[in-house]
Amino acid sequence: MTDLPLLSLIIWLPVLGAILLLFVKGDVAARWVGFGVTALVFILFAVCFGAFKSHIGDPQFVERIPWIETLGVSYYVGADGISILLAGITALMWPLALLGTWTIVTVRVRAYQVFMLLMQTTLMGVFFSLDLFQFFLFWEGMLIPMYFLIGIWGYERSSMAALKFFLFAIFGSLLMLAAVITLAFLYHQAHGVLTFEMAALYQLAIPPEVQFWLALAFIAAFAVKVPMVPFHTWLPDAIVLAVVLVKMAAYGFIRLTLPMFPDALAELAPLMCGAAAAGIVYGALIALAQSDIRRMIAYSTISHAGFVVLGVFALNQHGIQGAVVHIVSLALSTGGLFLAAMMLVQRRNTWDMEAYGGLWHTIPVFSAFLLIFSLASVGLPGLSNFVGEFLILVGVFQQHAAIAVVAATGVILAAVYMLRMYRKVIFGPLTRDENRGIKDLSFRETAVLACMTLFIIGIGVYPNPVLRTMEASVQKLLVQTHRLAETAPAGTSGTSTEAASRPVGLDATRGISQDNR
Amino acid sequence: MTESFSYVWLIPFLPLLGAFINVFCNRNPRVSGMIACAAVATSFLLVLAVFFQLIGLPAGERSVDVVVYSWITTGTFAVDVAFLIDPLSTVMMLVVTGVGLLIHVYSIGYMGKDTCCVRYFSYLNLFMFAMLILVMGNNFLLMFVGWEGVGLCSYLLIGFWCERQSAANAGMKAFVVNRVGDFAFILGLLLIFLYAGSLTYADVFAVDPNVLAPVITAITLLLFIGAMGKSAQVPLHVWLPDAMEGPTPVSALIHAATMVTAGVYMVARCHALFAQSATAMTAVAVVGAFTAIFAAYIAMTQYDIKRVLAYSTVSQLGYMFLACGVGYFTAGIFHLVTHAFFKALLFMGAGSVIHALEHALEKGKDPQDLRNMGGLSSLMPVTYKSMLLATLAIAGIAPFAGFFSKDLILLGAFVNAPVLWVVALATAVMTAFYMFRLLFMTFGGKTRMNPPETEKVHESSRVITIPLVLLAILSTVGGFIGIPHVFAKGMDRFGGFLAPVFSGLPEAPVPSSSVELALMVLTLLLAAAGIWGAYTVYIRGNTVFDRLVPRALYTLSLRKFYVDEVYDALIVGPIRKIAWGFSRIVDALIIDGGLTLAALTVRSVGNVIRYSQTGVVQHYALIMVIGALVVIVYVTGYLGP
Repeated sequence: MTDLPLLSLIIWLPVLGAILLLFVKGDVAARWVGFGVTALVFILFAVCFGAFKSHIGDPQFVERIPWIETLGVSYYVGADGISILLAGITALMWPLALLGTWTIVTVRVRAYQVFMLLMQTTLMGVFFSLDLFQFFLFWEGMLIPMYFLIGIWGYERSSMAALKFFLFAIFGSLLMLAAVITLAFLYHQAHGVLTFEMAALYQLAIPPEVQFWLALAFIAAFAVKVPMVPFHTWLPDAIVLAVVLVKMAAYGFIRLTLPMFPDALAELAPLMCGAAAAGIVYGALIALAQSDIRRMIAYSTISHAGFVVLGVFALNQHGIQGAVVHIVSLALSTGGLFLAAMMLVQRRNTWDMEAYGGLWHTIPVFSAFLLIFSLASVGLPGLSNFVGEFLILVGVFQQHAAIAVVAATGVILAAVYMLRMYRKVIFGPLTRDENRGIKDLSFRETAVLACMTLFIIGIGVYPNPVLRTMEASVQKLLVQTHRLAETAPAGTSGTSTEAASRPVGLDATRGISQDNR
Repeated sequence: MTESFSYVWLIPFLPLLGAFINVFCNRNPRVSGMIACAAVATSFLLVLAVFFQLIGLPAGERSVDVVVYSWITTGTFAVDVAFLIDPLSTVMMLVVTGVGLLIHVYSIGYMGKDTCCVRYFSYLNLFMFAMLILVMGNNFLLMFVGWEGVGLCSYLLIGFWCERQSAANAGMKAFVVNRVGDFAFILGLLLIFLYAGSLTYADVFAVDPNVLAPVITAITLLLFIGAMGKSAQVPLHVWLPDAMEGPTPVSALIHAATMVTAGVYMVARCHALFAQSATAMTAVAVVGAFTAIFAAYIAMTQYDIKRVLAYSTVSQLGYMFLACGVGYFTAGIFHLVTHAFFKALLFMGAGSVIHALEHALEKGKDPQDLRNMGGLSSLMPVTYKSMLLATLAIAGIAPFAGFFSKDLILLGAFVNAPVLWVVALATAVMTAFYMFRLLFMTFGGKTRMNPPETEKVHESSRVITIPLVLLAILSTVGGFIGIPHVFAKGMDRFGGFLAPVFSGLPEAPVPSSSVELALMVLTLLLAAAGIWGAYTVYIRGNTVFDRLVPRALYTLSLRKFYVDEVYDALIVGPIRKIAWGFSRIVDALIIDGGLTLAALTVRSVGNVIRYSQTGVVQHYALIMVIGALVVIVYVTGYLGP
């Protein structure tokens, strides 16, 4: 079984599916192909997950093929506990999303399926890449399907959204590209060979002042996509992508920023935590003022994304494990919420909360699912989000108690904006005639939402399998981070020295790039 | 040891199973009540088994942890799904399943005809599950699961008739106000974990006080704020009166007998922590005493029968906290138990009356308004008699259940905090007054209904009255489980049963028997005075109080001290404005506007530059040469010979 290149199959199978779609005629056939391929990917993933050994912290199922040898680039994939979980939620959500939007997407169906499949490939590629260059390619490659998907969804302000998103994304990507090249160059300087292998780059002793700027470059690239306030305004108009990007960007933080720049993190982590906590409250407050369901969900995502970033930059085991659980939960709860909302909008064709009300008796099954997703989003214990949120708070509280307190106010606000939405949409008297004839969920829709609900409850009640899967990998990550911190040149651990050396760092970076030239 | 209790997981699980069956396998409204009752009845029997098994053990061994499975484990953080079986949790389980069972049976009569009764019974069973998790968990996080779970069920049941806007609003208010408490609760948990390194009760309570010393006051106060939210203590009491929008059996179960007492249970459970902080104990006692008198004062003038009872519940919960705050944890739990009996009965009696009047009163008349009642004693004799017994019990008249528990609390206050004792005494008078006011206005005197309406009023069916009678018996004799030492040595069986739980506390000073007896007589006389006052006004029609009491004091009570209005003006309104401001000004205008501007700038710059793409190769070549020259000049720093 393990002889099969499982990870490569998972990554490239959707591309094959997309090629197959080019020769398929008819919307129904296209839907079946899309769903079939993603379902197959899920099965492959299940096989992979079954063979995964959770006590090993190193990447497993490793495949390595030399690629651009002059640059030291290779096709190099592998999965550790963190990446397998994120890939897992992707593998799970893709068939569900395609099934859930079966009748919602009615125009350009084939293109929709193609781009969804391509997006899955790039996502899986990001999660499984062990080579930084390859990681960057997948990361950037994602922009293409995303661009078209935003277009296909075609919400009213989508062209502006796309423009904003691409400005941010390109700005971030340029910084990241510069940082990636600098890293490889630094490695070449130290060891005389070029390589983009992440594990090798982790071992690189980077001068703290250079670290600061490299870390900033990576953080900027990821912060745009998480999204962190104030880089978030593209999201309400392109919410479809939100859940996907949160996953990817948080993974970027964990995989690249944490192990490579330990010294810079000593200074940046508290700032990131503070910004994340501010984002939690900010997003929640704005969600409170929305009357558009989509925008409400979008801002709640921004608020929740703050929790994820908070957990990552707590830089301890509780925080990081909590953050990963939270990413998985977010995909389920926010994804479920958004899918459910789309199903409702498909029936009534408006995102305005005020246009609904009194739906409880008309569509009870839908109302029950919406309630479960809302409550999961609120962080009700027993549902998956609580596990992540609580672990994140435990992690952050150990480092920065005051920031944890601010973040915890998000708990109150989440209840307010979610229940407010629920009260407006579902409760109250049924006043509008057009709401009277709404049909309840079909079997297909029920099955999709029920599947997500099962995972939400399952992870909430018994999260240990998820936590155990990544435990060894997170420990290894932390050892990596802290060992590097210890071996770093003396005199740089004090914040005052670092603050003083910041302008020097700028010069140092410049000096290097000049040398390069 | 653990093996013998390995079945306890069934106790919460059975109601969950009941809810599950009702949701997924049952469409028949008639059967739904049966399923729900059967689930709770089985749980009750199992709790009885636990109880007898527990008293069969030596007193020192009556604390058993039953681990079901490991719930959340990351590095040093480990929390199990595990249950703690000890006298305190057993008492709570008995109350929850016992009173809960009676209310389930009553619900068949009360809600059986509602079109949504399948949903109703699912919620009710779900509530039992969450409440049992709350009291049975052996760690703080599991308590929090139950804590939030009961909050959710409360939200759903308050908003059960969700097509009524007021019910939907009340449900949301309850959830949100509780969340404020939960926020503090979570912070308390984080602090506990940070300093004690565990969330399991046994570990946390065994931590050296010196380790916790720097944060113990913060921890206990945060936990207490959580308790204040759930148990509706001032200033977080505002949700409970509104919660009366829910069906009446729900008010009896959740908002009187069980859920709202969770805060008291939590403080009693954490007595080892609270006892380490004098500040926290004082805060608990003062908040309790103040809430007791504050709510009793409001209850004196309300006209909605359920609101009177709601404020009465708030007030009685205040008594329980007062007891805990002065170190009389046993008294607090004792009052919790007797209160569960008589307050559940009062609500169910009120429900019986409302149920009868709903069908009898003309359209537009409120069946919950005391002013539409009167003279019902002969029409609804069983309801009347059982409510009379409950009213005597809550007023603290000997030998009804409330007398013993309230007396113990007053004793504790007298010994430890004389000022609070005076407050508690004053509350006792007010309690007697407003409860008999309620009784007299409902059942006494002449009826205020029309003759055709009166004809339609009749006693409720057996399925409603039998639970009433059973609770009436408990309200009458329930106090005898804790007979004070003055009357008979060693007859305080309740205190004796709980003693192992609270054994770590310092011995409370006990006044002499004569003082204790004098206090009892004084309390009884004052309660009698309250009853006399109610009798004078509401049966005899004496208007002496109208002339004596200034109008402003009356309005203050009637308008509930304007707390809701103040909150709207100071908290709800400003938050809404801030949210609006952030959304429309900061987010839309400054951040997004700025970025849109940037985006548009890029686009228009692009549009301008587009004109440079002329397509004429010579132009491109020219630009290339100029560019190359500039680069050469820049790199060499040389501007020609």
